[in-house]
Amino acid sequence: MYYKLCIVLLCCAIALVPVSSLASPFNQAISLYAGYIPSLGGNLYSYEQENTFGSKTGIDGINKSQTGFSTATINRLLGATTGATFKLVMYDFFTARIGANYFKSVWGGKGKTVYNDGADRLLECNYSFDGFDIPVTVGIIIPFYKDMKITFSCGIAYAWGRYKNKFESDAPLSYKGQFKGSAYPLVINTEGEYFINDKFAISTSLSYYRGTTNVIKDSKKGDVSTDYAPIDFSGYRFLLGVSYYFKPI
Amino acid sequence: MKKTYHITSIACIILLCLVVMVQGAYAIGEFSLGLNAGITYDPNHLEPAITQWNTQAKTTATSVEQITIPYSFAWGINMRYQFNYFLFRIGAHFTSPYSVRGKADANKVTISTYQFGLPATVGLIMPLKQRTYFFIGAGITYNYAYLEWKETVPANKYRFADSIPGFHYMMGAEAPITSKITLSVEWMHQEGRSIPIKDEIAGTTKQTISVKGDFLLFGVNYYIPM
Repeated sequence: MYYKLCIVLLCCAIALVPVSSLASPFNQAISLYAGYIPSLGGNLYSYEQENTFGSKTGIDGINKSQTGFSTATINRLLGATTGATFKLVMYDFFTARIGANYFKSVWGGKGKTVYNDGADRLLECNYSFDGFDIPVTVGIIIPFYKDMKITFSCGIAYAWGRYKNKFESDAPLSYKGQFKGSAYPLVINTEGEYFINDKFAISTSLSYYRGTTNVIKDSKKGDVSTDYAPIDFSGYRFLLGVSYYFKPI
Repeated sequence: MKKTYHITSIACIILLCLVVMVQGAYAIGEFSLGLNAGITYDPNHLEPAITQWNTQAKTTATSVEQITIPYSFAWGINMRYQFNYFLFRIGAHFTSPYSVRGKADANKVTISTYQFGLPATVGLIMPLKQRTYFFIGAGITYNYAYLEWKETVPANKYRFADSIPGFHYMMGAEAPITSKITLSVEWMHQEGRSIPIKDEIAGTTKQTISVKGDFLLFGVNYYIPM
């Protein structure tokens, strides 16, 4: 609760910095962007995958094949993300930013494998992941000529995620898991902006997150098991967007 | 423990010698000295062991306080030589999380760990003007990692410590405050894994230590007048 309050207060403080005067050393901008996240949720480990299906490495170890079974490769999740960032520019070179991002798995995480519970069985697997995060970073802006800027910033995010998995076979049992939790991952962001006029810019950025929740108990009711899993927010994000600066650069 | 102090002392002495040598150097490029402070997440890559312990505790114990994967304050120094578009950097950093604890019923777990690193980096600079640039680089790292894992029920204590060679890549930006002082932001990702190390207490078990991790470092740098 304390951390959430700090984030909200920081957000308010940044928003209240005056930029009305052209002589002010501050400028503000807002960016809208979208992109993709490879390996969303990491290897999606859960206790039941290790205990029942023999995979100590989650989705990576679940893929198996056997003669006579029609299996289909289960790939790591590819996520889509969209969001907005509010940027404060100080003395041309320094920046503080706060953003809000939503992400969701859009590809991968589905397929068929084989496991053995005394007899070989075909197992249909389904993984999904979604959530949001609020990154707060500070960094340095390097302007190139008049129409380009490279920004490098680092900080911490509040991230909330929901990871679901489902395992069904011709055995009468099915395993469903749903895990919800939050963490404070480390954030690194590198961004390039090209100004198409003195207020609008096209931007590309690469973000890196690193952080995992504690082990969370399955909140899905009505199946045979209670599963446990951490939620992993680590990974890279590739983004494309537009920025609007409140004052001409 | 003695070995740790010796290695850390030798590394610091080498670094200080290099800094002293710089005072008398005559070169075309620029030398700078920097102080860094920042954070790292999960020093000595304890995440797999912590997740395993937490999962086991949640599935077997009735009352569990999970071990939280730690953030840790990191601090260090660096020395840089910039020549045209090239950057040569030698740094030293230290990190140790404050408190890493957990509890499963009567069993209390305490993890003590620290890491000392000496990264040597070669990088490319994208300069805008003097002392304002973005850089990207890579290099090798000497690490010294220490890990002690203590449990109360049953009473167990393991201690592993060793030197670990590794590599890193880093990215950063620097901007001036005055003509000689700059502020910098750096991200370093490092990789490295020890050979299996024997437990220093019982000497029966072996374990590897990984120094895989990320450092966010904010720095103040002073350019030495030539």
